[in-house]
Formats: sequence, structure tokens, C-alpha cells
Amino acid sequence: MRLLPRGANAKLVVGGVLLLLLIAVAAAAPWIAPYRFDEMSILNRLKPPSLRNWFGTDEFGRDVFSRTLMGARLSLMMGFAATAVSLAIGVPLGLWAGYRRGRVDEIIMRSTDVLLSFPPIMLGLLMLAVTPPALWKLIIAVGIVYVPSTVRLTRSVTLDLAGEEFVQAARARGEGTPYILRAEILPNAWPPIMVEASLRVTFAILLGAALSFIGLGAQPPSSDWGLMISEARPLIDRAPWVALAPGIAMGITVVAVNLLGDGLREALDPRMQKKGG
Amino acid sequence: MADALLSFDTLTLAYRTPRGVLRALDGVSFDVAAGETVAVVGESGSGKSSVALATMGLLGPEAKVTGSVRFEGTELVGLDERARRELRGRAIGMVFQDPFTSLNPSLTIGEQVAEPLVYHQGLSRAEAHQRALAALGEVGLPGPAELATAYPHQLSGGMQQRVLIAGAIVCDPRILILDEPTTALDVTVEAQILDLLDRLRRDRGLGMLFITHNLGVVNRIADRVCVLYAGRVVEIGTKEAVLARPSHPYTKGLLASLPRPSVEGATRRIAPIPGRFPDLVHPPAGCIFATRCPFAEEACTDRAQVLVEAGDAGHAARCWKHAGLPGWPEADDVPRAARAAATEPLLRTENLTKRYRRGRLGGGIEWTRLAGVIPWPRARSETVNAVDGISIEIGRGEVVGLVGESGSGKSTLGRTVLRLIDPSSGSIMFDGADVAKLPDDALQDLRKRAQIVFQNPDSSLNPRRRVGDAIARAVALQTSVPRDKRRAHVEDLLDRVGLPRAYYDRYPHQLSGGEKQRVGIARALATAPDFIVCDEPVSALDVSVQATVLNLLDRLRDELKLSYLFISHDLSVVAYIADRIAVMYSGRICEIGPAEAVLSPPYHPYTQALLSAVPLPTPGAEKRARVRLRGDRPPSEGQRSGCVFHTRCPRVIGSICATTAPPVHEPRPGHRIACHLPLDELMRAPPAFDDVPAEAAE
Repeated sequence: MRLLPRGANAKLVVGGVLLLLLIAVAAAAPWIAPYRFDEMSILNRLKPPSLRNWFGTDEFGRDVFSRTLMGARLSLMMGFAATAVSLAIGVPLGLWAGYRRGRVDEIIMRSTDVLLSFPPIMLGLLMLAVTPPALWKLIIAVGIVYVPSTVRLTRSVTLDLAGEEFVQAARARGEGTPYILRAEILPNAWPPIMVEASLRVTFAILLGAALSFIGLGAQPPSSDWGLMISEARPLIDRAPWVALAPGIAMGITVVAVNLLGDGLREALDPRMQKKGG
Repeated sequence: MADALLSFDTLTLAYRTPRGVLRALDGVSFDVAAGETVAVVGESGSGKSSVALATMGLLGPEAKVTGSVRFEGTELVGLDERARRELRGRAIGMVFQDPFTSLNPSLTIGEQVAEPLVYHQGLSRAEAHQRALAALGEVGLPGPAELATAYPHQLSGGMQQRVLIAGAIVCDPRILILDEPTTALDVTVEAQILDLLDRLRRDRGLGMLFITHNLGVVNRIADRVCVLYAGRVVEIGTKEAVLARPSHPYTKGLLASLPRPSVEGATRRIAPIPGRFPDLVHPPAGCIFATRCPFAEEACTDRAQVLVEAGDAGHAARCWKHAGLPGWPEADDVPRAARAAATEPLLRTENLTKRYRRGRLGGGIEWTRLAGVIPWPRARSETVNAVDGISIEIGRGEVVGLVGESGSGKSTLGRTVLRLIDPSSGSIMFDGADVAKLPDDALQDLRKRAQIVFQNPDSSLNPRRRVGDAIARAVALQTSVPRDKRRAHVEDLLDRVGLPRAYYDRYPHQLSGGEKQRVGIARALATAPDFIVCDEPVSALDVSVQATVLNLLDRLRDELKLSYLFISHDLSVVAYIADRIAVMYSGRICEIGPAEAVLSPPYHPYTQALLSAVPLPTPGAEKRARVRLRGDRPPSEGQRSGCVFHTRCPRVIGSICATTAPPVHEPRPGHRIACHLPLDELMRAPPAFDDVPAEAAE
């Protein structure tokens, strides 16, 4: 049975709709949440899911459902913005290193190796410890943590593409390096980068949470999926539902982003479209 | 035939596609007897590899096979997997096209050849090893014992192909299936492999099913030929009958599409097969070839064709009117422009050299002392003289053909003169200005006036760009055509290379190989260049398509007064299109001169070997004397002091060849041969082509 009209890109549609829903929920959270996210109720600590609290309550008696809704704002922002930062820095460096090779390549790759050798938390700490925490700093810190892997991936794809004859043809007609990188190589390098980036979003959410947990990001009582999971970790045997709701939310985000990424890749690739005549 | 080893009977192979059922093979019937070589010939898409895969049961589960394939009476279609494995490798040996990917890079040669013995015959490792060594010796590999401990990457392509053949015969199969076994190899190595296969067939009484696209190879190895077109056998018969007296129009067309190194080729264009390969999901009604056939009439599309006996015994063609058909019509009557007389050079290189270092194969790491004390690891490397002091001139409107085997440095030379690769030393004079040392941003004049056409139609176009945009970009960058006229201008260019104007909006994957190559040519023309490097522009194309692209390049040269540096490994192609030919070996030019002078004696020994190795499709030509080269590797760094060819030269005269650079003979003005042999000695070589008179070609 077909749920979608013939020819529609199912992945693109489903992923896009899911993601739009998530964003809508995040935006409307204060109005649709049944309780205030920081409203404590000591009498209702660690209550299992019920009609009153759909996903139960946490150790302070706060409604997990409401907190998950509110947490969507910070978490989605964190995930997407940090991934964007890592792409914005990593992709141009990777393209340049892979195309120019030689000394440029060595310098870029060894610098990213240095970056890679720091534990992510350390790197975040370095960034944030000296100045007062702020969300934008957190985003940049998490983004930078993922720069090395973006550079490596982009570079390896570029290495293959740089030897292709259409790139040689572009050089033969006198194109400059920036044009070749942007118009000839980048469009063909996108698919693997997109897939990688869509996975990266969730890792960024988790890393942001870890940094929040040690006091460098979102501060309690404000809510964030990663923070919620970290806080629920000691309670996992007594009250698994506390971690469940943000976990599911994160899972839905991953699926949505991956579907969207896959769908985009297919929609943008002329080879995947039907043969036209 | 009663004693058929392998017999195909109405073998049909169908795939289900979203658009309908695709018949890759349709009613294929023929036999292979013991001690006989049957060649299956066809272009890409003809289904020739599917025949091999169906026999071996290596088609995927989505393939629907009907009909029958019998091996010694055993039905292979529908045989269960266990019984198939018993046959594979044991009774039926198979050799694939690409030796470089057919061997497992992390197993030694000995292990790979011995493996089937352990599996099929339950021999112990030691026994299997002994048998493997014997097989390696039988396929003519020197020092089997040491070779067995080597890894595939340490071997050259020719040696790897021998190893694969050894692996295929080690279990004493009764039939060998060879899928394009020599296509990835150079002609001189191909000749060695064909000799080997022929010897194996005679010694062991093997039946061979030889799949190829090359009619010259067919002529050299086959007893009988089966011509496949669009999954149907269109003609079958003995080699002599099919190649000398082709009955089906398609076979006639295939033979006519081949450029031949002869006088005729120099004065008249080749006659290609028009049109496109049919859609196998909705094949044309009636004769499958009718849409491309010059002899087609209404009756041809009325009914499906059947094989009709054609004169000789066992010779049949799938054409109802084959009797009394004339030969393939001659090409368009546009005479080829007379060869350009010597003009002032457009491009001249002097002592052009490109060296680079690379890690030595199997070289590993060497410990050196840094500053005399500190141990320091260093990868063992070697210098590769890709282009070794080449001086060559190309006149305006002239086509210089550059011939050589893979690794001879011809592509590097082509890209170096365009400054796509920076030379190590030497000069490149383009229209009077030295461009060898100009910085990249000062090359605009060269970029506008010199272009390149590549070999691989799949990689030469950006898959994410409409073909019109790709061409338009070059127009925008290098010409003064105003923005609003660009689209029309690009469509004119498409017109010029024989593509419909509507192709502007197509993506590369929507085009066939030949069409992509035309787009590549249109893109090169977009900057209105004077000079184009054609780097194997027809090597990846089917014969019939190759002919049309060659004709196009030739016509464009006449119309636009272009100069080409035409690089190819195929001497027949170069002989057809070039005014002058340069023969390159291991980075140096060993012979250069007017085309007809290079193609007739005196020859450089390497040219002679190349020419005699070219497989010709004329029956009888396979019997001509052949020059056999030793080995298949260019000299290493230490062996470059004298003549670079001395390690393989069959006419080497002594240590002088290895130590002293050869003198240059000039038997005719402009015809230069670098060889130690005296000229009258070189003169004594028999002409490689009987139909190339030395002087008449002028």
C-alpha cells in the first residue's frame, strides 16, 4: 500500500515532517506543556508514568513530560548549531587540504590531529573555563570538538574527486581554486558529509549535555535532554522513566535528521532521479 | 554437435525492472567442443559476459534464467549450489578481465593457486603447493618457487594474468571460460597471453569459451565465432567464414568500423554503424538490428528474425536477406583533407622532463642516520622518469599521434604540455612563448588556446551538472560571447559535435558513453582552442561508437584547423588519424616520423614489436611472424643509462645497448629512429602490414 503519491521521496517527506513537528513542539513548549518545567512537588517524587504525569516525575517531583518539551528548545539548538559550526570550519579546511595536498595538507591535518588528541570534555573546559559560561560559547566549543572528523572525512572525499577528469578539465579551462572547490568538488562531496553530519547532531546534543552537567552549559533548573539524562543516570534502576522520555525524544530527532539527510541526498542527486527523455 | 563439451540451448536471461521485463539474453544457442575455442563477440550491453556468468551460476538471484546450459550432459540451469561448487574451478575454470582486482592482495600467489586443490581435491597443503608450482611453471612464469611466496602487488599485470590462468587450470578443468582476459593488458603482453592460451588449449585439449569485444583477438585465438547483439546471436560460424565473409549486417558494420592502418584509412573516413543500442525492455519489433541497418526494409520489422544457414557448413546469420547483401556502405563521401604539410610549430617542447618519487613496491623502510647519529626511518623510494627529456614539435593543423604502452608516460606528457602537471625541467614553447615556468595565474592564454579531451566518459563530466552548464562555463570564462547569447552558442557547439540541442538540459548519466565523449569534445571546443590534447579519447568506447568519435575529431580538425596531440595505446587508431606518429617507451621517444614512414620499415625494434602484436581482424593475419618481447616491465632506475628498451629488446646487440645512449638515424627527413642497430639492419625488418606500401601513402 502506498501512503505517498508515486514518485515522492518518502524519506524526505517523513524526515521533514518529523523534524518540523519537533521544532514546532520546541517553539510552542511553554504553552502546550501541562506543568511548568521547574515546578517542584516534593510529595510526588519519582512517580511512575500516570495519567497525571504522562512520563512520571523526577527526583524533585517535576513533570518529566513538561521538562522534555521545554528541553527540546535547548537541545535542538545545541545539536544543529554545533553541527553547523563544525561544518562551517571543517568542510573548507578539508577541501583545501585534500585539493592542495603537500604542505597545506600537512599543516591542516597535523593541527586537527592535535585537536583530536584532546578528550572532548577537556577541550570544552579549555574553551569555557576561563570565561563565564554562555550558550553561544558552548555551541562553539562543541562545534570545534567535531571539526577534526569533519576535516578528515571531507579531505578523503576530496582526494578522490581531485583526480577526476572533470576537475582536470576545469583546471584546463583556467578555473581558480575557489571555484573548483565550490562548484566542481563540493557538490559531489556533499552526500557522505551530509550523512555524517546528521549523525553528528545527536552526539553534539550529548556532548553539550555533558558540558552542562559539569556546569559549563545549561544550568539547572533549566532543562535540556542531555542534562536530563545525566541527572537521571543514578536513578536508572529505581525510576527508569526519568531518562526514557528525553531518550525517546533524542531517538526521534536522530531518525528525523537521518531520514531528512538521506532524502536530501537522493533528491539532490541527478543520478537518482528518473531517467528523463 | 554430438561431442559438445558445453552446449547452450535457447538460453534466455531476463531481469524484472520497474519499466518491464528486460531480456539480457534471448534464445542463445551454440556449442563448445573439446579442444575448440569459441569466441563470443559483442559490444557492451550485448550480454556476452552474462553468457559466462550464467554458465558459472554467478548471476544474482534477481536474474531469471531459462533454457538450458549443459556441461558434459549435466544440466547447469537450476543446478543446486553444492553441485555447482563441485564444478566451478574443478571442471570449469574461469579467468576474469581485470587481473588487478581478481587476486586477493593479502594472500601469496602460491596460496591462491593452491587453494582450489585443497578445496576440490582434498590434497594436503604440501601436495597442493607442489602442484601449484607446476602450474605456475606451465603458464610460463619464471622461478615458480620464489614467485609463490610473492604477493600480487609485486607482479606486473601480465604476470598476474598468468597467475590467474594458472589458478584456473590447476585442477585440470576440461573447459576454460575467459571473460575479456587481455583487455586490461598492453598489446605486447596480450600477444604473450594469447600464445599461452593457445598452447594450453593444444597441450591439454581444453575447450575454451573466449569472451571479447576485440575482433582482432578473435581472429588470433578462435576456431569459431558467435556474434552477439542485444542478447541475440546474430551470426555464428567458423572464424574464417565470419571474419572474411560476414553475412549479417551487424557483423559487416563492426568490421567496417575498425580503423585499419592502411592507405584507405588515410584518405577516407571510417564507416560507422549509425544509431543507438536498442532498449532491451521494449525492443523494436521484428529484426532487433533493423533500426540501425542500412539494408533494412519494411519486411524487416514485420517478423522476428531466425538464424538462417549462410553458405558454409555451420555458418548462420539472423537475417532473412543476408544472401546477396552488398558490403557495408562506404562512409560519407567527404574526402579527408590532405595531410598538413610541415608548418611552423604551434607547440614545441625541448628536453621536457617530469620526474617524481614514489615509494618502491615492497620497498619497506630503511634506517638512516640523521645528522650522522640519530636513527631515522625512511621509506625506500625510487625516482620515476615519467617524461624523460622529450623534444617534440606540433605544427598548426597537424595531428601528432603518441603511441606507447601503459606506464610509458604518454598521458603525463600530454598533461605536462598543458601545465596540468608542472614539469621538472625543460621548456614548452606554445606559439613562441615559453609556458613551462609561468606561474599558474599567468597561464590564461594557454588555458584558452589549449584544451584536453579525456579517456573516461564517466569521470570526465561532473555528474551533478547539466551538460550545457558545463560547456557554458567554459564559454563564459574564456570567450566574449555575451550572457544572453550563451545558451544559443552552447547549443551550436552541441550541434557541431552531432548532439541534439535539447541535450543542454541533460545530466551526464542520461547519456551513453559515446554521447558523453561528444560532450567532452564540445567542452574542449568551447574556449575556441587551437590545440587539443586527446588523451585516449576512444579507448573506453565500443568499436562502432569509436568510429563515429574518430570521424568527428577528424572532421573538426579540418573545419576548425585544430592541432591534436593524439594519445593512444592503439596503433590502428593513431595510424588512422595522425599525420605524424611518435612512439614512446618508458618516458622517451624511440621513433618519430610521418605516419606512413613509422608504419613501414625501417622500424625501431619496439615499433616493430608493437606493430606485429596488433591483432588484426583479417583471417590469415594471425599467422604472420610476430616479434616476441621478453618480460613486460620497463627498466628500473639503474638500467636507464643506455637505451631504455634494452631490457626487453629482442634485437639487443650487446652491452653497448645498456651503457651508451643510442644514436639517432634519419632515414627520411623528419623520420628519426634512436637505435644502435645500423640502418640497413633495421631496414631488413619485414613490413608489419602488407597493405601499407611505404611510399604510396603520400
